[in-house]
Amino acid sequence: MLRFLLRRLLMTVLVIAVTSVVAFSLVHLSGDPAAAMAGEGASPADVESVRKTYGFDRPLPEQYVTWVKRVFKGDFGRSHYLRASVAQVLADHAPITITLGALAIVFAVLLSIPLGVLAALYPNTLVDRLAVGLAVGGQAVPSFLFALLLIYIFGVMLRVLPISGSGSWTHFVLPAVALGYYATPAIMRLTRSGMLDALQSDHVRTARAYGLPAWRVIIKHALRHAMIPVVSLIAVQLGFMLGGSIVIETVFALKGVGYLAWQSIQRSDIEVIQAILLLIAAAYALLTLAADVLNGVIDPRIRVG
Amino acid sequence: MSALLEVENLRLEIATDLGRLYPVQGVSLTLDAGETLAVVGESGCGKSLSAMAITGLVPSRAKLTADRIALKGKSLLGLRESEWRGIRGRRIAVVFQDPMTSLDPCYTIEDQMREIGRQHLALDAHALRARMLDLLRRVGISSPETRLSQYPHQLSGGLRQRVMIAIALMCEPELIIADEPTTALDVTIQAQVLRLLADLQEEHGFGLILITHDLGVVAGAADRIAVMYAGQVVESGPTDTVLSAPAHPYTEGLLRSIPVPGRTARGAPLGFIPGVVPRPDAPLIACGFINRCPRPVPACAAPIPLMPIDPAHAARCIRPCIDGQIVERHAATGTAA
Amino acid sequence: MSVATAAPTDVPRPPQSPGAVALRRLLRHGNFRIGGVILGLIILAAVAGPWLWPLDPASQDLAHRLAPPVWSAEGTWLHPFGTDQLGRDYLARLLQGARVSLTIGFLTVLLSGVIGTGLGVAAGYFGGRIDVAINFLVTIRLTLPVVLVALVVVAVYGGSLPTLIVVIGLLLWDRFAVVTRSATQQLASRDFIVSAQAIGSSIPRILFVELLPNLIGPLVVVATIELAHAVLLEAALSFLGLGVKPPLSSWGLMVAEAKNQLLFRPWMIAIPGTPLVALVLAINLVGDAIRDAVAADGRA
Repeated sequence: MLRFLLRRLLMTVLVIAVTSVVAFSLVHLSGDPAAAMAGEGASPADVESVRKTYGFDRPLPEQYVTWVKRVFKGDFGRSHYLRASVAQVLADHAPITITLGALAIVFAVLLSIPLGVLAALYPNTLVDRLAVGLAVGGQAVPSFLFALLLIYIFGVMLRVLPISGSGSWTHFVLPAVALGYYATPAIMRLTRSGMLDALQSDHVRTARAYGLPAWRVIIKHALRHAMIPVVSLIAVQLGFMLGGSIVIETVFALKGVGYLAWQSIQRSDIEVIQAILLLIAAAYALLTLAADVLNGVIDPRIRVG
Repeated sequence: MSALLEVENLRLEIATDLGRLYPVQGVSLTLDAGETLAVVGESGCGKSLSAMAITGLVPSRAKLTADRIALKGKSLLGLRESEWRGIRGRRIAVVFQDPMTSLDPCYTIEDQMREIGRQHLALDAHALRARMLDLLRRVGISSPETRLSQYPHQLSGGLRQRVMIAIALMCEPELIIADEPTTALDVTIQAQVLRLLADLQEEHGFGLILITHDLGVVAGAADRIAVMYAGQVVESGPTDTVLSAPAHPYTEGLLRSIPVPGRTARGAPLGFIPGVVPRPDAPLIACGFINRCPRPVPACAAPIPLMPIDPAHAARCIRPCIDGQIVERHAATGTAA
Repeated sequence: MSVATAAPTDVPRPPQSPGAVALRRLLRHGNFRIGGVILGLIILAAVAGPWLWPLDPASQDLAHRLAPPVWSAEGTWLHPFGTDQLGRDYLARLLQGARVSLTIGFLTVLLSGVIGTGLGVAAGYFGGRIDVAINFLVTIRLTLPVVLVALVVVAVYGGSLPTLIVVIGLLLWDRFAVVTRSATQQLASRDFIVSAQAIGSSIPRILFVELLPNLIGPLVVVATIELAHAVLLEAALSFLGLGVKPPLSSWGLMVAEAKNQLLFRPWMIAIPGTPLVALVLAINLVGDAIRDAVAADGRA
C-alpha cells in the first residue's frame, strides 16, 4: 500500500508541476501582459512601470522560476486591480467556492446513488426509466440555463429561496443544486451499471445462497463493489465543479473563486489568473489522488499493486 | 425411510429479450443422507440451473415448476424469502465452481465466515471464532489463524476451495450441493478436494450432489450418477452400473469419447457424438437426442419419459442397451414392445 | 435442423458486412429516430434559415425593441419571436445561432477527433515510452479546468470563430485519445494486424488501411459525446461574454443578453434555451443509439 501511495504521490507532484508551466505560459504568452494590466488609456510610462514592477521584462523561464519560488513561500503575487496580495484575495473568496462545491457534490451524491441503486434493483420498471430519463435529460441542459430556470421557479414564481448574494445558508441551496445536478447523470449511470453487474456476480450469488438477508447482500456485497469506480468519478466531478463554478457564481452573484476568476480575466489581472489556474489544477490532481487512496481502502486487491 | 432430497419433474422456463427459453425440462432425482449423487452432463445441459433451483435461486424472470421438491419430506416449493433464509446456508449449502469469484474479494475470510455464522448460529463471538478455526483445520488448512485474516486473493485456488467447503460445513447442513467444485483447480488439487469431500461426508453424514462435466471425477467419488442432456435426466443409476453398462446411447457416446488408460488402443480414434445439442428455445416434443442417436426409430419422435430398467437404474430411451443387447420398449409403459 | 423441438429451422441468410448490420439496427432504434429527427430539423433550420427567413439578424431597430412574440397579445407576424433589446429580429438571431453553434460544434469535433485519434492510436499501437508520454499528456489535459482555460485564451486572443474552434478543439481531444488507445490495443493483437505486419506492410498502411476502419464504431460514439460537449462549452463561453461576440448570434449569447429580462419576459430566455436543450438531447440520443448498434454487433 505504501509503495502504491508513493508512486501516486510522485505522479501527482509531476502533474502539478507540468500544469503550472502550462498555466504560466497560457497567461504570459500573448501580447503584452504589461499593457493589458495597465489597461486602456494608460501612458507608455505607466505601462513601463507595470512592466518593471511585475518583472515582465525578464526572460520568460526566469519569470517562471521566480514565480514558482514565490509560490513555495506562499506568496502568489499581487493583484494589480485589487491592490492586495493574491493570497489574501484568494483566501477571502475561497470559502464560498468550497462551501458551494461541497454542498453541490453532497446533493449530487444523495440524489444519484440511491436512484442508481433503485434503478438496478428494479430494472425496466418505472423507477429505472425515470432514473435513466433524468440522466439523459439532465445531461442536455446547460448549467447556466438550469440555474436561470431554478431562479425563475423558486425565486420568482414561488419566492421561497433567495437568488443572489451569500448572506445565509439558504443562499447556497439553489446554486448548489444548479452546480450539482450536472454531475448527477454520470454518477447515477455508473452506480446503476455497477450495481447491475455486482448483483449478477458470483459472490453475491454465494451470499444469497447462504441465506443472508437482502439488504445486507445489496449494501455490503453489491454496493461496495459498485462504488469502486464511483468514488473516482465523484472526485473527478468535484474537480469539474471547481472549474465550472464560474458560471454558477456569476449567475447567482456569489463572490467565490470562480467569480473572481471571471473578473480577473476581464481585468487582465495576471497574477490572480495564474494563481487560480494553478490552484484549481492542483485541487483536481489532489482529488484524484484522494480517490485512488480511497479506492485502495475499499478494494483490498488494489493495495497490492 | 424418506429420502433426504426428492425432486420430481423440475422444469424451468425463462423469459428473455430473445424469447422464452426452456433450459430444464423435467428433472427428477432422489438422494439419501450420506449418499453422493453425481449430476453429469456437458455445458448447457441445465445441471447447474437444476441444482440452484433446489435452493430456490433461479434467474430473474424465470418460472420454476415441479411436481415435488422436498428436503426430508418438507416441501421447498413456493417458499417465501423469509422461510428460505432458514434453509439456505443452514440446511442446504452450496460450494461453487470458482472460489476466486465466489468469495467476496473485499472482505477477509474471517469477515465472510463470521457473517454467515452470525446469520444462522446462536454462538457468541468467541465460540464462533473457535468454530471457524476448527472448521478450517478440518478441511486441512494449516495455520488457520493466518488464513482467517487474509483476503481471498491472497490464497491459492485449492486453499480457497477448502475455505468454501469449510463455510459450507459451518452450520452442519443436511445437503451440500457442489457445483463443479474442482473444475477451476489443478488436477492434483482436484483429487485432494474430492477426497476431502468424501472424508467429510463420512464424518458428518450429509448428502452430496456433485455437479460436473468431468466423468473422470465421478468414477471414484459418487455412489449414484444422473446423466443430463438437453435439460433432462436421460439416465440414472448406481455409478458402477451406469459407467460399465450404460443403457442410454448418449451415455454410451460419452464413455466412448473418453480415453481409458489400458483399454483404449494407442492411436485409435476417440469416439465422438456427431451433431449439436438442440437449442433450449422450445419445449421438447421428441427425444432430445434424436438427431445424434445411432439407433433412432420413428417412435422416438414423441416425448420419452424416464423409465426404470431395474429398481435402481432408469433410462429415458425406448431402445436402451441392457446386458449388451438393445431392448425395445414402449414409451407409455416402459415394458417390452 | 432441429427435429427434437418445435422451433422453426434456420433459413440461411446471405452474409452481411458488420457496417450494414449496424446501420440497419441503428435505423430501427427508437432513440435514433427521435434524436435523428430533431437533429435533422435543427440542421435544416440552420442551413436553410437564411432562405426561409431572410431578415438580417444584426440589423437593429431601436424603435421596436423588446417586441413580444406572435403568440402574446401585442405580437405580430412581422417578428414571430419578437425582438431583442436592440430591436433585432429574434427568429433571425435564433437561426443564425443554430448555424454558429453547429458550425463550431462540428469543426471542433473534427479538430479534437484528429488530434485525439492520432495520439490514441500512437499510444495504443507503439506502446512503451510513447504510451507513457501520451498518457501523461492526457492526465495534464484532464487536470486543467476547461472553462477557465478557454476563458483565458479567448480573453487574450479574442473571440473570433476560428479562435473559438481552435481553443475548444484543443481542449476536447482527451476522450478520443483514451478510447482509440484502448481500442487500438485490443485490435493490435488481433490476427489481421499481426499478419499485415508479418507480410511487411508499412506502418502507415497498417494504421490507415487495417486499423482505422475498425475504429470507426467507437470513434463515432465519442464524436457524438464530444459534439454535445462542444455545443455546451461554446454556449457557456458565449453566456459568460467570452465566446461568440455580437453582432454574431449564438444561443448562449442570446440567453446572456436576455438574462435581465427573466422577471418580465422569460420567453426571451426560453426561445434560445429550448432548441439548445433539444440539440444536445438529440445528439445524446443519437449517440446512445449508435453505441447500442455498434456494441450489439460484438455481442452477436
